Amino acid sequence: MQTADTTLQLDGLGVGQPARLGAMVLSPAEQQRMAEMGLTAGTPVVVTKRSHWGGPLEIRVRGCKLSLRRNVARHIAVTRAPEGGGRD
Amino acid sequence: MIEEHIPHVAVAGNPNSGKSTIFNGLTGLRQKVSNYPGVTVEKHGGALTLPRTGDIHLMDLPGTYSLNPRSLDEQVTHDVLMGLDEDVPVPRAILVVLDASNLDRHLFFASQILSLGRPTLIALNMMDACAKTGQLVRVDQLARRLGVRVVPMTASQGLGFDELRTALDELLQSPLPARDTVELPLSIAGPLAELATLLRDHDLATAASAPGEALRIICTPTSLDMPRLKPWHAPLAHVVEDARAQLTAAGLNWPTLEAELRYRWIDSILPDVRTLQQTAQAHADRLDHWLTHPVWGLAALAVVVVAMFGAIFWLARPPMDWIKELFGLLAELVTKVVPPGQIQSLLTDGVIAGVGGVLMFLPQIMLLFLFIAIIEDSGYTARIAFLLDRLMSKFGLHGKAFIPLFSSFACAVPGIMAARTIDNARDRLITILVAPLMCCSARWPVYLLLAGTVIPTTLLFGFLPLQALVLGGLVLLGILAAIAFAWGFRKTLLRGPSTTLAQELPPYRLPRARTLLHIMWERSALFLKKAGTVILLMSVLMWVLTTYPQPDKSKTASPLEQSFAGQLGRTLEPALTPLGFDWRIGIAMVSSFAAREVFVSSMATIYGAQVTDPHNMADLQTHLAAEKDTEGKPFFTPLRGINIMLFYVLAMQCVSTMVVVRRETGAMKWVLFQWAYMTGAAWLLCFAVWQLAAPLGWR
Repeated sequence: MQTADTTLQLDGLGVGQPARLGAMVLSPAEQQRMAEMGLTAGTPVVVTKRSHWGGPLEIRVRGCKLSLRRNVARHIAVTRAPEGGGRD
Repeated sequence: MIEEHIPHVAVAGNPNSGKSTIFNGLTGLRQKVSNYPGVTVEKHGGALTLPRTGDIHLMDLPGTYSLNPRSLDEQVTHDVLMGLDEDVPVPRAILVVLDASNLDRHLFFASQILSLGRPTLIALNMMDACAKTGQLVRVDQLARRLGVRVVPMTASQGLGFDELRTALDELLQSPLPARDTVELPLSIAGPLAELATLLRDHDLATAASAPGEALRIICTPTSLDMPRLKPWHAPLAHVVEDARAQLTAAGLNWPTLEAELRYRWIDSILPDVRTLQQTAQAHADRLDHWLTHPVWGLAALAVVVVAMFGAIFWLARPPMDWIKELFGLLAELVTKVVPPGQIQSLLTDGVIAGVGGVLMFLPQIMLLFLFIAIIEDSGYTARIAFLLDRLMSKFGLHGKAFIPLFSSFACAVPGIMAARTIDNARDRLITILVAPLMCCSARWPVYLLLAGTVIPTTLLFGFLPLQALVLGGLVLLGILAAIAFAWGFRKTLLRGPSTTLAQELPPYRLPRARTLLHIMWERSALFLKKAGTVILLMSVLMWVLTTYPQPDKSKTASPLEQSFAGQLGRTLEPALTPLGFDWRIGIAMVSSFAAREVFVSSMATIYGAQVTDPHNMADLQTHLAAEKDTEGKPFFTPLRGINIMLFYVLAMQCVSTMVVVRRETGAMKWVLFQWAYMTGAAWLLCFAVWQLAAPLGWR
């Protein structure tokens, strides 16, 4: 089991910190879309860039860069992965 | 139309997989672009001759991430692949294009397609990018895992096409159905069994495709509203609900179920299929560091935009002049060959002047298409969106709306077509609705004529030309109006979140000249086709309106005044007087409905000056300045001139744009809505200005 302090929202994750995706608080259709883009539970994720003025986040999932709006990232839980947890 | 005996092969793949390069490489120039009936999705078809199978027809499907139909593109892909599109025969085989350097994600779509149980072939593209990013893909291993043939390719360098043709030929000679890569565990297959059986019984799926199809229906919240399943809504609804409830009870999250199963399978095969030697992403990351930087990124964007516009207005000028001269010569020729009379007038004043007036913009439009293609093909669009998303979303626009809106400064036609890159239908519609408010190049002749007539050539503070200031103000007003209306539409008519959730930032790629020219030509051809049909028709209509009924020589009124257009101007006068416009301005407005710059030549006809060169308007301006009202004061006062310009800032006065909006939105109602809101706003603004000016004595 993960302890509470390792679970946070994706938009709170620091740049370069390895983590794994958890549950999403999004509508079923949105959850399906995100999962199809490769954002499934347990997938390693890294925030590669935070744009200024509250703009989108740039993340790397499955070797691919995605841009994600903050208000979406806020609804995705992540778990900090132990070091060395980058890409599978 | 479609020759049924020719085998059809569908080409499918993710966006950015190089699908179009492969399609173009296979079919060469033997291509045809049309639209899928009822939707705005472009249908690309091409012919190909294989040594054994002979002629086949290749269909390039829109690039999608998933087979689950939510957007129009996905709907088309889904329907064609499933053999549900009534206009297209069931594909004999499916060619799936994968980016070899991006297998982690691209295998998802491939695995979905394999679940359809149709003969399938994989083109494993971008093997060069694989090598560059330090990935080693074992093609034979991948083929074994997928259960179908895999052809490694680097389509951008023309590598692998022979092998692909041979493989396709062999597949068509002995078509073996593919099999789903994922076997459903009992905990899922159980709840799905009833739905799968029902699908088979209703002929909605084959024995091979039923489990995968059932899974997709369960995972997609709105699946039963799809046209294909709607008739079966009642019998299926409770089965679907039941299955979802069972899955939920088993602790499974049904919306993500299919993706989780397929990605789990991908993760399980990848270690065998690929070795990572190093992770070399540094190049793209370094570029992104600058191009999405809040300061340097904006600076880079400004440079790109200025260069683009400089080039468009610079490079397009000579060919635009040639086209104008060409049509001038053509008109002269017709005058010589065809005896004077109505036929001659129809040809010269109607057809040649009308179509020529629109075609004159073709060089600008082609260049715009070219620049848009470069920006899109290189992967820069996604970076612009990233950079501007926050700012633009405040106004209800998507970050990707920037290029369409900016292009509209030259011409709304390519701008509106460029809005296709916005995947969310609502975001795209808002962009299309406000794009024509940007100051397109057809507005300039109108502004230049009027500003030159009514605005004195004084310098403000000794250095700022007043005329330039007024013109700048008009451009700014267009931008502000676009922002305000976009915001308004988002808050009212097209409410709801902008649902583009995650946007791919594809690796940067150097665009290939052939691809760029291809895109430019294809889009321009589409515009030309419209110019040859609808715009031609409108030109003839405008000619009829301005020529008939035949003038009565005994009357003092000019022929234009007696024409239908003149009568229309008169009829409209009650609506125009409160704006400070008279029936003559009304005629110019009615006639410039075909294209805004026609205003200038109409004013020339009405006021009797012969304007042959719209760049030399001095003659007409003198005429206009001398025009007196009933009290003997100058008719074209500064405020009246400004009010006409204000009308042109907002009003929808462009048939070409309306034709394109009809095409791109697929609905006449949006064309009418756009016309109504733009022209309505123009009328209200001009009314307010003219009425408020009276008590202030500014008229």
